[in-house]
Amino acid sequence: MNLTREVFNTLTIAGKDLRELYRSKIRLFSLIIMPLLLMTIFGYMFPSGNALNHISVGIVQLDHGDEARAVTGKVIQMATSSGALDISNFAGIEQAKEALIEGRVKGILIVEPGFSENIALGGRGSMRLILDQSSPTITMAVSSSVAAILGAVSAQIADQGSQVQMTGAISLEQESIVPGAASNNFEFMAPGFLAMMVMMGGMGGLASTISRERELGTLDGMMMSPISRFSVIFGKALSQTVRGLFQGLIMIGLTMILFGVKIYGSPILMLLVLLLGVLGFVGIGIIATSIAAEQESATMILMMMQIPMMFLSGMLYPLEQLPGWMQIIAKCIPLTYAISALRKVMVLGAPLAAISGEISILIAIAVVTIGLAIPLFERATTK
Amino acid sequence: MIADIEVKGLVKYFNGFPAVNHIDLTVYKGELFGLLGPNGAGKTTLLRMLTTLLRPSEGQASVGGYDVVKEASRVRTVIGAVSDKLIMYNLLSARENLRFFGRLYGLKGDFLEKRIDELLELVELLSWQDKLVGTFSTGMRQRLNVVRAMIQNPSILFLDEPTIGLDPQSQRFVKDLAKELNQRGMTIVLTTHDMEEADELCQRIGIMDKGKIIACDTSSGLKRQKGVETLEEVFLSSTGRGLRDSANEKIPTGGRFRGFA
Repeated sequence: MNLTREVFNTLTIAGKDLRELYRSKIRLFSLIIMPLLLMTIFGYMFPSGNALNHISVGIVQLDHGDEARAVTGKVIQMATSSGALDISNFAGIEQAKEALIEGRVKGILIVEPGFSENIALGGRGSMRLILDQSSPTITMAVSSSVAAILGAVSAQIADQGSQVQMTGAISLEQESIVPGAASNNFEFMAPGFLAMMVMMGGMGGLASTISRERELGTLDGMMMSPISRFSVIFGKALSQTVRGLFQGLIMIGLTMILFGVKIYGSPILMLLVLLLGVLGFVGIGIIATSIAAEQESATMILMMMQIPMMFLSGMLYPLEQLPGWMQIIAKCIPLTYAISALRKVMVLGAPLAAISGEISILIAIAVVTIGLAIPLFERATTK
Repeated sequence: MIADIEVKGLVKYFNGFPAVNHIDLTVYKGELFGLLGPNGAGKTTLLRMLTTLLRPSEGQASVGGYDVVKEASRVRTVIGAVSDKLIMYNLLSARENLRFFGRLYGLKGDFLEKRIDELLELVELLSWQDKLVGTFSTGMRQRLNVVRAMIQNPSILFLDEPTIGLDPQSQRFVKDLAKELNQRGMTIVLTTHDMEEADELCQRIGIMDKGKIIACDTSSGLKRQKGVETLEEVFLSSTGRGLRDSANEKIPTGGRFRGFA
């Protein structure tokens, strides 16, 4: 083996590859933008301070005695001044539960009947905290904030020698919105993984199959036949959707069998969310394919979109952990809505009405992206 | 004579460069028309516009009486096309490939199956009908590719270098098939670099260079005009002997698809 020759050949091949990269504007752009995106996202996702502030919690007062009013008043005051929780009042438990399932609040603090009387008699005033078990991080944050605030409230009221004599203690019971369900990190992440696999797989698969057929020439065979471009796109999209749903089924089966993940909601509703999500991603996939000249560029464009989606969609971390401007970006990502709806259905057993917002947005995204994708695809294939 | 293909002032720009530059052309019904030209002359670009795969930048073209832009889907019902790329799926069998393309043309049921039988028999691949195309030789694939373009019995067939890379037996088979189809009344447009093939098959020949048709006549007419004996000499005297794509010849391929020009 001639070492000099080997080195020369190696350099020749590497040089050729880099030259190709330099001449492909899309690949070069992706190469530069990718680390910028990654570092920006990670840098802001894991800030030095505690980002989990202003978590929405509802209060339901089932006791209207002086002690109860004094405690809730102090809880609201302390939560607001510390910035940890944003408290809103609900008239009844059912209303509050509805808000929790829809994601408007992350916990419900209930002042149980007889609270004031028990306290006045030197006994324990009961409070109950219902938690959204779909996100363990949020659950933990709400739980610890409420416990800390209640501890401080008790002490403060006693110190101030208030008109209300807090001779007794406050007891706090905690439970999940779905009875018996425990907050489980994998249950939080499973819907996210499922949505990501199905939708991104569909999007990447679609872009790759169209690009491959274009390079092989077989796409010409379809484009020369008297069928509409709509049929070509939707035929391709349908096969990718079936593939994606099949993968999704395998994932659901595995998470249930191996990791004990339970599905509390309707499987049909889950399927509907996945299907609508896939349609939106199909549009994005076709747009990427239409912009890119060849398969590799299409793949790079998709990767550039997939990475921010993965970290900003609430798949791995609660959206509440992100800074405000990142939460705005997250709201522009279709995966965010698919994951949110899927999590509500799978973990909280939400009905269709509770995810109607997400469903409407997913439909709107699908209509807009596919509406843009068809003329772009037509233009790209006859340009 | 009835015109089957009519082209008027057709232009296709790629990044401002005219790959096809104001072409006028008429191909008559039942004619086997040859299109010759050096690499980058614009033959494939012209064919892609006539087969509705590319939108012209300027000018008009009609195929089978239909406008290639305004009535593209009607054009697609009357044409078949064979390009240098094999429009075949390797993981489908010969029959499955033909069935897939047949369905795209609205054929179905027994009619489609019988049509597939006829075509497979025509290219002597009936015994290979259930084998995956990926296991076929280049010649077998190209034979199948030719009948794939004939699945809906088109009246106009575009053959873009159909014998390139084939062994002499397969070349002869494709040439005889083109002749036979033409004798049955099919209009055929053939592009080739093989002068003998053009001389043997084509009733009229157009020579393209730098996006324009610079000569168009019968083979004997072209030879007479140039005062030479062979079509190759006609070609070289029309397009010059200098190598193409050399330092003095800047012919960009332009668009996103390779192999246009």
